[in-house]
Amino acid sequence: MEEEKEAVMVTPGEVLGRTSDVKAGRGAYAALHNNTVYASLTGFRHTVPPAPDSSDLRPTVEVTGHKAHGPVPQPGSVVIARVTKVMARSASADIMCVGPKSVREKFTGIIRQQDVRATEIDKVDMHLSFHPGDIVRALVLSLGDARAYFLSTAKNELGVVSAESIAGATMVPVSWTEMQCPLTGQIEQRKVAKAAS
Amino acid sequence: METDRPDGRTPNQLRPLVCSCSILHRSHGSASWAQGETKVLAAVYGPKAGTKKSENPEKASIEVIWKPKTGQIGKVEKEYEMILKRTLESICIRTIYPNTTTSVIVQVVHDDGALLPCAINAACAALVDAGIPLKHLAVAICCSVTDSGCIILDPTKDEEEKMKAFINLVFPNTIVSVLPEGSLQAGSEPMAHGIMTSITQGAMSVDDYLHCLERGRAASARLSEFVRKNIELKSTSEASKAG
Repeated sequence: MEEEKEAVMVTPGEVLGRTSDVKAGRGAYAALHNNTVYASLTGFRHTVPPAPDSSDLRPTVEVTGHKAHGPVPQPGSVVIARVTKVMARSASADIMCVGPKSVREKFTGIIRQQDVRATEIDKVDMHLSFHPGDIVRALVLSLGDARAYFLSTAKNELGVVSAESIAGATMVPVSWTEMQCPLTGQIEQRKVAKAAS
Repeated sequence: METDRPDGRTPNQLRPLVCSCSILHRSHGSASWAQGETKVLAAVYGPKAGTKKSENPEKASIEVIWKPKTGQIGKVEKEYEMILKRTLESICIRTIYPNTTTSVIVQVVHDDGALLPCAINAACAALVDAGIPLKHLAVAICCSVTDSGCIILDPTKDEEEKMKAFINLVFPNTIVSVLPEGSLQAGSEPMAHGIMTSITQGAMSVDDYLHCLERGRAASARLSEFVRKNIELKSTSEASKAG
């Protein structure tokens, strides 16, 4: 999928094409009142041809090479978060990364009891799933309320990826519900994320 | 109807413009904008989590904090904050990151007239620098009406005090397009003829107001060109550094 070679510098509000001819990609938006695609960021205008198997034959116009703002958690994105507080029905966590990028600002997430695992959700004990300080991989379910995003660990690959034992050592996963301290050999309960093979 | 101005400018002449971006390291975007002796510094932080209780959580919210050169914030500054907030909300695409807040902090460095337009231009440049998605750029201009009915652009502080009335106008940037000219009509009105904000002070006739609009629109085209060139110059220099 080759991009066009010449790149034109654009600023916000510049017309990039008609919605009948092009689709709006990153750094562009479509105004429905006049069926026009405009730039929303400063950068270089690129046109990406449609995928060969795509039913929509319009190329995608996007603005690249701009200074991006910090990543923002969105529904469907996978985040890395640090657990700050564990309660009976939920756990709070500070989001540190959205996908591969670290966040600039502090975003708070909540993992509710029903979102910890996919099976036997009524039997989940939050204190046996997470501890404060644990690093978890989670999926953003929704924007939640004004205070926090709702996060879920209800998949095999989601859950605790790193945790410290009482002795202060980084624990090793033993099963999907247990982690072991390499110093003392003590086993602690966690909702463990399956390691990527 | 010509008028003599203390600094020797013609009625339609703007003071020298200077714009610098990315001047603060801790902010996500920043810009300083100077028109003659009037200078404003703007910094953008965000998008940050959450919106205020009064705001719609389904849209991103803009928070404006005005910092005067000296002393406490007063009624005038509160009004400036509100005008700036509404203007910036109209140019930002607020549906992309709902339930987030972007803070814009405006610091007055020196006030020698046309302060609000200067602040709007600085804030807009800072938003561009922060990479916040915008529908279009905004360019602001101040027009004033003398007792004799003459209209002058970009007045200084001394000129403002002697004027019968003055008006702060904000226009969208003039449209640059890859499409043929005829296709830029929205109905019968060209899209570049929109007006976003209009704040008047003092009493003026309808004719004076319309003349101010005409002059302001002509000046906004020059400002648009300056902003675009400034942004493009910065972007190309950054791209060459990266390359």
